[in-house]
Amino acid sequence: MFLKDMYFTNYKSKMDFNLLDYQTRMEEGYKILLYYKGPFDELILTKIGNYLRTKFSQTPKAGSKIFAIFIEMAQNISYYSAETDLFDDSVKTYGIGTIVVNELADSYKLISGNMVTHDIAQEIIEKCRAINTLDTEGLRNMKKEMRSLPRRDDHKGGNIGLIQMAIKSENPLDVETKAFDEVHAFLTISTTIDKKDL
Amino acid sequence: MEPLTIRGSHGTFFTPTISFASNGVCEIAGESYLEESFEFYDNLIKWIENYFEEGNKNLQLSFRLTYFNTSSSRAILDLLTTLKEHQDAGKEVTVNWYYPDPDNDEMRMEAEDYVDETGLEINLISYPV
Repeated sequence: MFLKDMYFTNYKSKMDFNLLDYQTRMEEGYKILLYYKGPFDELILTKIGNYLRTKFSQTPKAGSKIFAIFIEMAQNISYYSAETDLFDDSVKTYGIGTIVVNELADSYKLISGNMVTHDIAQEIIEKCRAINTLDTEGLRNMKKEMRSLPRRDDHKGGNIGLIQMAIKSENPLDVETKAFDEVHAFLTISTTIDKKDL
Repeated sequence: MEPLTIRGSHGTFFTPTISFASNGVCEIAGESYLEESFEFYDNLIKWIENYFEEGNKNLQLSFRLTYFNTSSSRAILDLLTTLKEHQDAGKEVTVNWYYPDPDNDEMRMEAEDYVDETGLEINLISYPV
């Protein structure tokens, strides 16, 4: 069964997927610092980015890591989310997705979720898998390697956002997908910043 | 050579402050998160190309960036690669990279990576914050 069908017929009963039913769960042990779902246009991106920085002005190291990871997650959604295509391809819009920032006792967790095609989902899963085998030194080498590749027309940047997230968080990238329909999957990427490193 | 100045701003995007002087003393400062990173830095590259085409021999570029996103980082790499090419062609090119101490954004590490990628010598200079 596709997620799409579950979403409409069976939303509250069996979903183990933790972003879509996030608001229905009342788990103990963490504090929600941010939950945003919607289009990632420039204004939203900057406003939320600045909000996070202000929020962490007393702990600038945490603030700069969270800010940097947030920007990369948000830009990925803004540029590459398939959701604009899915529901409205008539106007030029920004990618739609979700970003959540949670504070736990010993860490901060950033979670991003958005629709992608199955091909892209597979590409990202493989990329994250490769990233997760590397330590900081290895990640820096991978970043240099990727950044030195020729510019690509379909990329507005260096294609190194995921690597940068792993470098900044100093933790693996957890990636998960659920098939939404024949074409699309819902992709969730999350990472953790340990407070002891701050 | 006409100087190039762009006043940095912190609006919807973060535009770094650019000060490229006629005498070849240039600086990029602030934060870099741009709508079109390549377009922005390509303009700086063009200025540098023109500067050397006019027969100038010396250029000093100082970076005082406190944040840049990965799109900017790719565009900055192209800028540094251009400088390396001119240095290899016999021009006197000095690059200074100022990083804050404590270095929350790990700016020093970013500069080290650029040194590895371009082969350009970059002077790493810390300043207290």
